[in-house]
Order: sequence, then C-alpha cells, then structure tokens
Amino acid sequence: LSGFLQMGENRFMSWLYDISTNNFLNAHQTLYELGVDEKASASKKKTLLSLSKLAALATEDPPESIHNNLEAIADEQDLLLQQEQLPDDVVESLGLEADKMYVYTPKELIQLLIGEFNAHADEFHFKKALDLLAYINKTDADYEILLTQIWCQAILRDDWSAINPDDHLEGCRDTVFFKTVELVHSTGIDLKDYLPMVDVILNNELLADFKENTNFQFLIKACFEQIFRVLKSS
Amino acid sequence: DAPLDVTTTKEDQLKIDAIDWLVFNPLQRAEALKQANALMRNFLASRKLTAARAVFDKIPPDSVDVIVQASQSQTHTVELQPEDDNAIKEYLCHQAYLDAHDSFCDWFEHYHNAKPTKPNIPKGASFTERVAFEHKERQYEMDLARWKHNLMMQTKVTCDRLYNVLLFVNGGWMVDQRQDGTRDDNRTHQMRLLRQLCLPGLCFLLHTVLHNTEQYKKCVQLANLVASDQHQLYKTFRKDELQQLLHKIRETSVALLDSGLDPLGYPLIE
Repeated sequence: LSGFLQMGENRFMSWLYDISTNNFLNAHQTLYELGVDEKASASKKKTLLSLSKLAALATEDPPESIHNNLEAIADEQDLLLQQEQLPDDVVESLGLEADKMYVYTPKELIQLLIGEFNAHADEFHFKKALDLLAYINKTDADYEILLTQIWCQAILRDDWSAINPDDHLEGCRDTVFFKTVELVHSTGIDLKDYLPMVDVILNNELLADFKENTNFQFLIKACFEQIFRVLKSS
Repeated sequence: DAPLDVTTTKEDQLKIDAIDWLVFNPLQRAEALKQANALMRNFLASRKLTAARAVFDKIPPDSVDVIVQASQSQTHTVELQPEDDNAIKEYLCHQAYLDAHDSFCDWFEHYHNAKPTKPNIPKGASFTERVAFEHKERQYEMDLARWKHNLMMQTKVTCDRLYNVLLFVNGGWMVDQRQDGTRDDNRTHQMRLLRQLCLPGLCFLLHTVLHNTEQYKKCVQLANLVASDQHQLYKTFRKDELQQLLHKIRETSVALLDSGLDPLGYPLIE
C-alpha cells in the first residue's frame, strides 16, 4: 500500500497513511515536497508546510538532515507571511480574495510592494522590499536591477519640485526616499551595500522624465551627499 | 485524559477568601492583583478551574483603572511600573483562559445534552395518536432548528475565545511584555509551564469544536496556527502531543476526502 501511495498522483494522500502508522518522518518528507512544489495556492502551500513542520517536530530521533528542511520551511513561511501582509491597496488592486492567491515569488512581491498597485507605499514597504532581496541570489542579474528600481520608485513617491531649493535638506527629510534611508540605517544595516551610486539611480529609465530637470538632479545629488556624509561620520 | 476541573478544597477556599483583605484599599490593588495572579497560577497548574474563577471574581472589575489612577497619583507619569504592567497583562490572560474554558463547557453541554430527540410513532397508532405524533414532530423540527441556531452562535463565541487565548496579543498568552522590571524567575518559570500545560489542551478543544461542527477546512488549518513562528505554539507541545494533534488533523482530512474534497479542503484536481 505504501508503495502505491508514493506514486505520483497518490502522493497527496500518502501522508495520511504515514500519520496513521506513526511514520512521521515519511509524512514530513512528502508534505515538504508537496509544500515546496505548490505554486497555485498560497494558503494551501502554507498548510502543507505547517503540517510538514509539525510532522518533523513529532518525529522521534529525527535525522540531522531534518534541520535543513526546517530552515527551508521557515524561509517559505516568512515569504508567505510577507504575501499575507501585502498592503490592502495591493490586494484590492489584484482583485483577489486573500485565500485565492497564488504563490508570489520574492521578485513579484518586491514589484507589488514598490509598484503602482501600492498607492500609499511608505518607507516600511520599501524597507520590506529591500529585505526581500535576501531571497534573491546576488549573482542573479535581476538583483541589481531590482535594487535600483526600489530606490527609484521610492524617489518617485514624492513631488520633488515642491521642495524649496533654499532649504532643500529640510524638504528632503520628509520624502519617502529619505525616510527609507533613515529606517534602513536605524536597523543597523550597512547602507553602502544597499544604496547604488547616485549616477546609477539618476540614469535609470524610471527617472527618464527628469533627465533635463536640473532642480531634480540637484536635489537628489544633495540628498546622496548628505547621506554619505552622515554615514562617514557614524 | 486529565480531568478538566478539580474540586476546590476547604484550604483552597481560605486562600481565595484571603484576597478580600487586599481589595479594601485602592492603593493596594496592584498588590492584590499580583497575589490573585499567583493564586490563579497555582490553581491552573493543578487544574482547579472553579477555584481559579473564584479568585478572579474576587478582583473588582474596575481594578485596572484603579491601579492606573493610583500609580499616576504616586508617580505623576502615565507609564506604569513594569511589574504592575505585567501583572495587568497576566490578569487579562487569566480572564481570557477562564472565559475560553467556560465557553467550551457551555458548547459541550449544548452539543451533547441539549439536542432535541426525534419523536417515534408507536406501531399501529390510532388516529388521535397519529395527530399527536404529527404535532410532536412539528415541535421537534422547531426545536431542532432552534438548537442548530444556538449551537452556531455558541460555536462562534467559543472559537473566538479559544483563538483569543492562542493568539493573545503583545507576545502571547502568559508572556511578560515588559522586561525592564525586577526579575521574578519563579513567576516566569510558572508562566512558561502554564503555557505548556494549557495551550496544547486548548488547541485540542478548538479541534473538537471545529471538527464536530464540520468546519473541516478551518480545522486542518489549525496546523498553521500551531506551526507559526510568530506565535510559537509548537514549542509548547511535547512530541506525543504533536503526534496526537497530527492524528486528529488526519481524522479531519479523512472526513474531507469523504465529502469529495482534497485532504486540506480544496477541490480535487481532475
């Protein structure tokens, strides 16, 4: 019977048999594979991984290798939590009920947090987007692209032409961009690893509309100078 | 299974009554609350729920306000002493637990004992007996509808109260939020033990309610609650308790399969 249950289509039931025979290690392994493979439903993925975790913890004399699975489950749980906590604006724009969402990748989550769906994005959302970069390999070509996009989108949240150039430092302080910088800095993260060079930002296509806007270019450069001055002194 | 409630002894009653002496003076209310908390911890640890409820009822309902006011008049700040803050949270934890338990007992009573019984028609019934039977049957249908409605309401309240303990705000049930006060290792130790003693039990009660009222999908999703890193409930379970939980969830999954859904309550993929 257990052989039959391990075959393809029947895997989704085999863990029931494993639990009934107190084979929690097998149940854990199957539920883990089902959970990792699940892409169509976030809520289903969550329950499969939760059950897998409980089965792992219920296993008597678990093998060492189970810790790797538990760590992987913790990462997946964290991503699902980020998805559950997407701002209301985003969930509404997607027009999906919370329990009918498919599973978003870290890249998609970042885009949802920083993009136009999130009408009221604040510094906490941009910080979350930066945190999500941890799930993307630094050698992945998209890593740098996303990093730059996060900061450009943060800059685009404010109307920089409304800032008085004579008192620009004070004006910059109220921008989402500056607040994000402060928030990241306050959590002890080294901004130098997370903030691209000012030219990279200004040359990004997201800011193409401001290429000829000298006032805008001046303000952003002044902002960066101020940030790096503070970073150096601290 | 351990009994849900253990009888209050004469000695217990003396301890309960002693709280009366502490609630006269409003300036002593914080102390009264701490003593009552300590007594309730002991009663909960020996599963004396009626006794714990009796202690709880000795503390006047306005006590949190009284403590805040007394503290403000003495220290002239809005911030409470960390010990008082923690005592108030603990008191609310006791309340949430006792309420959840009372609700479950009411639910259990209603589910098992208050269900109306279907009338039977006697064999070879006469005309008058048949008329009487039809009348009884109509009455039964009405009673059953009312029973179902009340069960639904009681189920909702009970689940809410059980979730309220399991998802207790500000760090969880019986977890101090303020860490800046004098440490009381004995108290912290007791609170940790109470989490282990009470929380798995409440999860099982919640499973019972959800399963018996056929809320199977929600019931399977109990796994999410227990496995969540935010709430850390899985840490309060022993291995055998986790195994028992998985067996219970399995039963629910089997019920879902019987109703034509997949083991987690989603439509089967063709």
